Amino acid sequence: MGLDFGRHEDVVFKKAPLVTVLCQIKFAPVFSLLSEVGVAGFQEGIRSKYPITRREEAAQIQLHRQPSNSIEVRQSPPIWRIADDNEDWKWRVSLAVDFVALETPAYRDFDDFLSRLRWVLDVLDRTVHPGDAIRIGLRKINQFAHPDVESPQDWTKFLRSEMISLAGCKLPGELRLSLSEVHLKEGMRALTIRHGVPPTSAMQPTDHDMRERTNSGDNVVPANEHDDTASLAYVLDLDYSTTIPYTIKDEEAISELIREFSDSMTSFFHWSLQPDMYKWLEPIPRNEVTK
Amino acid sequence: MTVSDAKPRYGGARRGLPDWADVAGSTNPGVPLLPLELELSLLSDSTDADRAEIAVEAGVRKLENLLRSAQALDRMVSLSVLLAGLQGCSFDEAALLIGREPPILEKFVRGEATVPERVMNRVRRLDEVLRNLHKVLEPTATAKWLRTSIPSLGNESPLNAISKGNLRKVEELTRGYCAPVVHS
Repeated sequence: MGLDFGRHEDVVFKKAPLVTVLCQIKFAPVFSLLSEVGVAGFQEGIRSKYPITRREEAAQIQLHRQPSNSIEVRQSPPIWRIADDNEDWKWRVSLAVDFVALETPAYRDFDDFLSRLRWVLDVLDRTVHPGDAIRIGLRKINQFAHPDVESPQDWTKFLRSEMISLAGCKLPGELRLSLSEVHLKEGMRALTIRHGVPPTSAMQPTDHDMRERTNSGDNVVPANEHDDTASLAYVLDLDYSTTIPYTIKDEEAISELIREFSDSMTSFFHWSLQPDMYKWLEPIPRNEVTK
Repeated sequence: MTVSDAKPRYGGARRGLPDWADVAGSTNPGVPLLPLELELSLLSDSTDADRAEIAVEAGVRKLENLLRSAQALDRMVSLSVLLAGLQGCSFDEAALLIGREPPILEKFVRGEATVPERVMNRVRRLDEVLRNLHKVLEPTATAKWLRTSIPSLGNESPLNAISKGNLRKVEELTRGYCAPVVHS
């Protein structure tokens, strides 16, 4: 059982603010995954559901002023993006030398997500056989919006005031951004809660940018320091992970763990809502949805 | 001495090189082509026959290395594509089918060891079994079929039969799945 933030109704929100769900499983580096040859079997194994494959590489350029005035270019290992569609993808698998990830901007239900994850892990174990998972994480990014929010202070009517804190106060000047990060530890598991009002640039283009950052493990909000307009959105980025080793072929144990993470996140999500926001998201009892 | 005389004198590729399957694992897949082109261009300008034949020999060796590397990569891809088709099977079951211990299979799929010809032969035969099977059965049912006892295999499962060295019986069985049925 993961962290529990209190009881809540078992509902599905018609206006769910979920932007991205991503599960990342890290393993010790498998260097054959640097090349097409090493990825061929895995790609073939999942091609029926994810037919589009492309290689992404990122280079970081750093300028050092002191002492050498040098320019450093760091080439990161390739990430293989294997998706169900070229542009408008709904599901995407990412494979790199040390991780596999499954992500989607939206899912029908969490069982669907877990079933896809199990399938990906089954193929990964048979074609790459990476050994034990050294870190397993689930990340859910929500982006709240409400027509009655005209300034960041208005969020106090819709989200828990403890979360809004200073951003909910009347402050001189214009609020550019307000972001908080809370780490909760539970044995070898940890929940990181990042939340707040991002600058407008962080929301444009919303989910694509977030997905890129989710993979790299960076903070969700790309703080554009030159942007001086505040967004009227509120981001809630939940990242639950463990460093307990799991055998990748034990897909059932991993999916059970991910479900626990998800339940805890849902519990926090409900905790964060004020009654007006809850109502506005249009909750529907889950058993009525499945009917 | 002409250029064509030079090759037999130095032995070229035939000079005591082991079978490529034994050395391919240590070859560098990234052998660049440029040095060979340079050497061939030097060859055309050279008036020294000895230098020319050395250049030819080096070029031939590089081409052979490239070929070995390409074949080694091709084998690795063929093996991993076969593994991908074994839907629902564990890695250990796949190793049983391939006829190698799991740690050895792991080295093959990671490119840490070259897939030998004997294993490749088995890979090709298993590939045919799967292709025939998938003409009559959904690929998702592969693992279930492999674990099911079949009367024509002496009530053994295909997995057991293959692991006991009876791949030929399984090949015949799956060819039979695709054979046209004659009604009298």
